[in-house]
Parts: sequence; structure tokens; C-alpha cells
Amino acid sequence: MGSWGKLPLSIECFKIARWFTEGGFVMAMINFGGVKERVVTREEFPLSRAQEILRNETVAVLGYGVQGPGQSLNMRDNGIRVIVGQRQNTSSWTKAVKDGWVPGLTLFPLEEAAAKGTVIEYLLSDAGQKQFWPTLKPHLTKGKTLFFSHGFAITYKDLTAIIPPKNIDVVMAAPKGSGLSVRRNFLEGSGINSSFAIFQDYTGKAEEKTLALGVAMGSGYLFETTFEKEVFSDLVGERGVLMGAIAGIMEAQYNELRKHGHSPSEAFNETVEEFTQSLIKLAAEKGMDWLYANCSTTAQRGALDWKGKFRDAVAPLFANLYGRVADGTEAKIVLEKNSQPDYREKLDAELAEMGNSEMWQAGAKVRELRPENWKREA
Amino acid sequence: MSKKRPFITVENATLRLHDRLILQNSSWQIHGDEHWAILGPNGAGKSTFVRALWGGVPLRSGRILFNFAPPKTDVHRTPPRDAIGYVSFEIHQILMEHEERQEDVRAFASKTDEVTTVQDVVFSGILADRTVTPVDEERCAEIAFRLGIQPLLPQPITSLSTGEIRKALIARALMKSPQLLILDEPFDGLDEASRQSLAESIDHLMTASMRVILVVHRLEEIVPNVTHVLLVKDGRLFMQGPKDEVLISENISQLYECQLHLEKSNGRYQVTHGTEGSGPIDTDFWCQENHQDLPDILIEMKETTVQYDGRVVLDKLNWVMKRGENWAILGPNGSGKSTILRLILGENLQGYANQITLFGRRKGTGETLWEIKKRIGAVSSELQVQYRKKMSAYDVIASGFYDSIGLYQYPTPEQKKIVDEWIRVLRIEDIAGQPYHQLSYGQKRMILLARAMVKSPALLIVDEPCHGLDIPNRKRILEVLERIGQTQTHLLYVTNHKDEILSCVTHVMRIHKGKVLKQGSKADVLQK
Repeated sequence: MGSWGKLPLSIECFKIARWFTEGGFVMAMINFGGVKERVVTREEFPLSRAQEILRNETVAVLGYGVQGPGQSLNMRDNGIRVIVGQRQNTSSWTKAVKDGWVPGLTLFPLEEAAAKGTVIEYLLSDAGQKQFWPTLKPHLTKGKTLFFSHGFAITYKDLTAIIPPKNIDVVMAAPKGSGLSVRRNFLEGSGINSSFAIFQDYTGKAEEKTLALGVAMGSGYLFETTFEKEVFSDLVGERGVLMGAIAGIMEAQYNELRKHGHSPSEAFNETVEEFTQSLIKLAAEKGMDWLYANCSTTAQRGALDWKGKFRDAVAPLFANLYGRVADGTEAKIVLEKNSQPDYREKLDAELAEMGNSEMWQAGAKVRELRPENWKREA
Repeated sequence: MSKKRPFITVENATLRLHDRLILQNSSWQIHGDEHWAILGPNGAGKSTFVRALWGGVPLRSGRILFNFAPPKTDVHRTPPRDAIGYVSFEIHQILMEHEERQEDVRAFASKTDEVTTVQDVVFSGILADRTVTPVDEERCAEIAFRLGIQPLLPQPITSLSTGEIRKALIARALMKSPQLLILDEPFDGLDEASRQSLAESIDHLMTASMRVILVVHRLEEIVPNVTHVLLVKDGRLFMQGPKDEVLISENISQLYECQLHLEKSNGRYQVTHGTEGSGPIDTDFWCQENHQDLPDILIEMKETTVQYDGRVVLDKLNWVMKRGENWAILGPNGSGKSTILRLILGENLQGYANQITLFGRRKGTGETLWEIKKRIGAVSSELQVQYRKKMSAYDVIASGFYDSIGLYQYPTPEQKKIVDEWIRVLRIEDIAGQPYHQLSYGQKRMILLARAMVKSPALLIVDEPCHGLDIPNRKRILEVLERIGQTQTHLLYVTNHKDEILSCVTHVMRIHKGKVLKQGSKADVLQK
């Protein structure tokens, strides 16, 4: 098979502990650092099987925004019957036409697509999902599949009021990458890692349908999760290490350096630029442990001594953060703030404060001076 | 400018390219009244050398002195980039890489409407530290007019063909009115009319104050005003001097290590090969696949139309390619040739909005992209831009079995044997073991040609296969393609060079501005 096979080369990094049969197909138990997890690969669940399972389905992808294009284009290129639902007279509608979706044939307004689809991929934004739900619900007739790529709407149902009917399947497959990388990896013949979860299995075939959709959208392998775990880890991640914590500790270090008379360019280079331009790329390739093992002894001693101190200092914050994500406080804040009439102005002011800060202004200058900056080439 | 005033002086220079030292202890001097052409086999070091003049390759020892940047009385030891215009495939690739990163940025911020226009690219040559003035705008319009790309200025750079991008980069280099213009294979990808007008433009620029260094593979592309020629071979400066002294049959034959005959008429050179071929082509291993299951009609397009934001790039194309036919598609830059190929390869998404039948199956009826790709081998400049993996050249060739960019499966012993055979047939033993990303443009092209051929596909799509190839490689590839065209593999061939239309081509389509001018048997279409 031309497209498949990121796994055979990379799977050797893991240890395949054992194989077992479940629901008619083989799954691998893979040892992740001592803990065994259930993983489905394209080797065990080939595209031909996915096509067979989805043979009589029409997949309606609602929302041609961030995840919609990659997933729908990949499924179409994998021979699945796909239609797109999108609000008319939007730039996303125009983009869909450019991408070869034909109005009235494979491209419809949201509600019409929902009516035609037997699998509804609900890929609108979190707020958009809440808003469109009353319109969508009547179209979720017996035996249909409601598919998400994010656990937000279902997990925080008290806030979103998204409570699916009992006689449908409710499932999720969430690619661990941007919509663009889902598409790019697919075209290169590799794939992307995804998680999958079953919230409601009415037909008794929810899992195989989910895996079929996951493989058809271009996943290299899928690991199991729940709606709740997916959204909790996602919200903790972006509030923590991925966005909130990282920017916070960068600011703290930058401010301390500046307090002691270091110039903005020095403070920025030592805090952000060196991290984003070289270290993080090495960590991506070889892991942070390798980075520790291979840096200078000066850096090594210090990093080993200080790693624990930082961990202990922020551990209570993470405990607090997880609690607030799990009890719905964080989700509630998001939905409430988003629905305030002066939401945009307040947000702009907050973003401007960050953007105008000395550190990120210095950053803009540093980036401009990078040798690979296109405008400086030739 | 006084006659003997030095313009650039290279003194005992040794360059470092990756982990290799090349052009060891080379010396060279250009004077203020000279224009140079640089020739040499693929991988000889030509591009590295001119890139060093622009400061893009580290100097291990020796020095390069520049006498032309203001203040002109000074001798500069670092390349005065503001005074140097540089056009090469490498710049094209950097531009596309940059554009890909921008796509990530735009997708993350949900701003997919934003595009980089051709005008943005043209202006980027002067915009490191300032904004556009009305004078710049006037100049841009004038340069674009001269190069025939004025209508393209508001278009997204990603919608352009290879030849069109090449013109945009030349315009970009001219924007800063450089003292030195380095053109590395500027004619590659251009149609005949564009090559002629560019040659006239370059010749004209040479009469003004600008000095030009021209790297070319085709001797006929050495414009009349070139005064001197430098021959580069095996990573060293092989021969240099006044044009008429260097460009003689004996030297060129020595340079390429094959018998060549050089003729000069009207200030232009022409090279003809000796009568003997490039050597036997072993076909035992690649004709086994007979593609019995192919239908009588391989490709059918009905009223096929492709458009972007109102710009129609293909207009109601009707075309049938039958079993047993080899087609050539001819047409100027931007005529829609590449779009046709991209529709077949599934790379143009509007294929789903059209009536296209590939290998007996209507597109969009449940076939997979991979089922189509399985039957096709392809090589093009676009593929070369996209193929940027750090891996061995051997693995790049093997990835042709899986139609992947990167290698994600282990080739079987049988597949490896076929890879080895192709390496032998294309005579690329010396580069197949090297890291692909460290090869020269022409060397990469040879690797990608092998990648396209390993499957002995039902359909071989070759879009300007000879781009960047030196004289012996070009001859070899054309002979191999000629041979392939006689097998069960069908050829779909795009070229801008009339002399490269193979005799195995049975049918020809002429296309212009997205419309078919004429199509049919080769004899019918090509007759005067």
C-alpha cells in the first residue's frame, strides 16, 4: 500500500508486548515507558477495512475551518463518500469550492449537510457547536454517528447543553496536530497520531466505525482515550506547559535578567530565542533526557539541580489547574467570557498588553535579524 | 570604469560545502569590463562557487575581494549583498519553504485568506529595512512589463508555474539595480519566447553598467555579450579565459568527457554530439510489468475547467489519451500544462469537481489517491521543490515504490535490486550513496528520475525532465525515455524544448492560456 507505514520503522522504538483479537481485528499493546497501552495501527486496521466499514456511510464534515479541510480532503482521497457542510457566503465556503467541493453535490449549507450525512463530523468551534446544536439535533436520527475531534462539548454538557439522543453512536477521533499537518503528512505518505474514544455505542459498531474514520482521515496510529480525558489533558496542556506556563516562566526569567541590567536582546536570546531556535528542535528529535546527557557539564549540572526545584514550585499550581479543569470552572470561564458583549474589546486589550511588552517587542526585532529571514536573502 | 580595474578577485579560496572542501586553492578574477559564463558537469561545483560570491557558502581559507560596491574606492571583504542580484533554484526553494511556514502561521491563526503575491516577492528584494515608495512601484511595473509578468503581480505566488516563479525571481533581483547579477540557470523552466526575450534582456543589461555571471548547461544560452568563460569540473576551476579561446570542441569534450562538436554562428554556440549513443541500455529488468489490466482509454477529461479567484487556468479541456499512445504537451509558461499533470496526479483538488476518468474509473467515485498513484511515476520541478527530506539518495529512489516523500517502509530485496539496476542504467553510482539534500540541483534531478522509473509504471509523467541536467546526462535521459516509450509504460511528456520531443511520442497537444490550440497525432500537430 503506497500510503501506509510510518509505523513499521518507528514501532521498533516501542516494544510490542502482545497481540490480541478484539472485535474482529488485532490490536497491539505497546509498552510506553513501562505502562502498556492499547494502540491501533494501520497495519492491523488497513484502509481497505476502513473503506469496507464506511461503504454505506455518507460522512458529513460540518465546518470547513481548522480541522475540516484536512480531514475531509484525506477521506475523499481515501475513497470515502464525503460531503462538506459550511455556512454560505463565508471565506471558508469559497475555500471549499477552490478545493474541489461542488455546491449542491458535495458542498451544502450546514443543516442540509447534517440532514444528508449518516456520520456527522461536528468540527465547528466549541462556541459554534453550542450555538448550532438546537438546529443539528433533529437531524441526529436513529443509528447515525455523531463524531467529534474534541471532547469539550460532550464532557461539559451542563454548560454546552449538547446532550445527544440515546439512539445514535457518539464517538471521537482527535488528530494530534494542526489541520495542515494532517493533510501534509497524508500527502507525503506518512500519517499523524490520533486518539480515539467512544462515548455512546448504540449500534454496537461504534468502535470499528471510529477506527475506520480515524484511519480514513490519515491517522498513522490511534491510541485509546475517553472524551473526558481528552478534553482534560487538552485544557491542562494549553493552560500549562504548552502556552500558559511556558510564557509565564519566560516572562519571569526575562524580568529577572532585565532587573540586573541585561539588555533586552540578551535577555530575549537567553530566554526565548535559544530555546525555540535550537534546543526545542533537539528535544523533539532526541528527547529532553538526551539534551541533559549531551550538553556542556556547566549546563548539565545546573539543569539537573534546578529541574526539581522548578517542578516542586509549580506542582501546586498544576494541582490547582487540574482541579479547575475537572470541575468545569475553566470551561465555564471560557463560555461566559466568550458570550459577553464587550468580549472582543477586553480580549484585544489583554493581547495588546502582551504584544506591547518589552520582551515580545524585543522578540520581533530578534526574529527580524535572523539570517534566514527571507527579506534579507539575496 | 577603467578597463583593467578588478571587479571581483578570488585569491586561493577553498570553500566548505557541508563536510566537503571544494574548489581548493582557487584563484579567479573578473574585471570591470567582463561578463562571464560558467559551465561544467552536474555536481562540479558551479552553483556552490557563485553562491560563495554572494556569501552563501563559508570560505575555509583564502579570500574574495569585491571592488564594486559603494564607496567604489573601497575593497570589500564581505559580499555587498545590496549590490548583488542572485537568481537560482535554491532561492526558489527558500521562497517556497518560507511560504510553507507562512501557511502554517496562517492556518494556526485561521487567516487562510492571506496570501503572498508575486508583487510581494518582487518587492522583497529591497525591503529588508524600508517600505515601498512610488518610485519602487514604477520600477516594479516596468521590470514586470519587460519580463511579461505584469498580469501575475497580484496573483498568489503559490499559483505560479515553475517558469513564472523564475521570472518573478529575476524581477526581484533587478529591483535593486544590482552592480552584479548572478543568474544560475535562469533559462530553465522558461518557454521559448521567454528564453529569447530574457536572453535579449540579459544581453542588453550587459551593455549597461551591470556585470553578469551566467551559469548554464546549454551552450546556446551563452548570450553574445558574454566575454569570458569559466569551466568547472570535479570541484575545481578547470579552465578559464576569453570566450573564444575556451569554447572550442576539444575543451568542451574534455570538460564533459564525451565527444562533442562545437559550432558558432551569429555569436551563438551550438553543440552537437558525436554519432554514437550514450551506451547500451539494459532493459531486462524493467519490461516485466506489462500492465495487462489497463483499459483502452487511460485518461479522459471532459470540459475540464480549473479556476482560482476568477483566473481561469484551464478552460473546458477535452482530451483523451488511449492505450498505446505517448503524449507530449507543449505550451508557453502558465498555459496550463502543469495543471493537467496535477489533475492526473490528484494534486489539483479541482479534479473532483470535473469529469475526469483515470484508468477506467471516474474520479470521485470511491477510488483512492493511492490506487491512482500506484500506476504513475512522475518527476517535475514542483516535486523537486517539495522533496526536502534529509535522507540518502538511495532511499529517495526507493520511495518511488510507495509514492511517498520520505521512506516509511522497508523496500524488499527485489525492489532493492531494481533500484540498483536503475542506478546503473542512469549512471548515478557515485551519487546514490550520498545524502540527497547535499546533492546539486542536476544530481537531485537524476535521483528523482530514477525514483519515477523504478515501478515501470503504466504512466510515466515527465515534466521538463532535462531541467538542470548537463550535456551527457541530458543525452542519457532522453535515450532512456525514448527506450521506455517503446515499452508498456506510457509517456506523458512536457517540454519547452522542441529538440527534446522524443520520436516515441505519438501524439501532441498544444495549449495556450488554458485552451487547447491543437491536438492529435504528432505529424498533424507539428506540421508547419
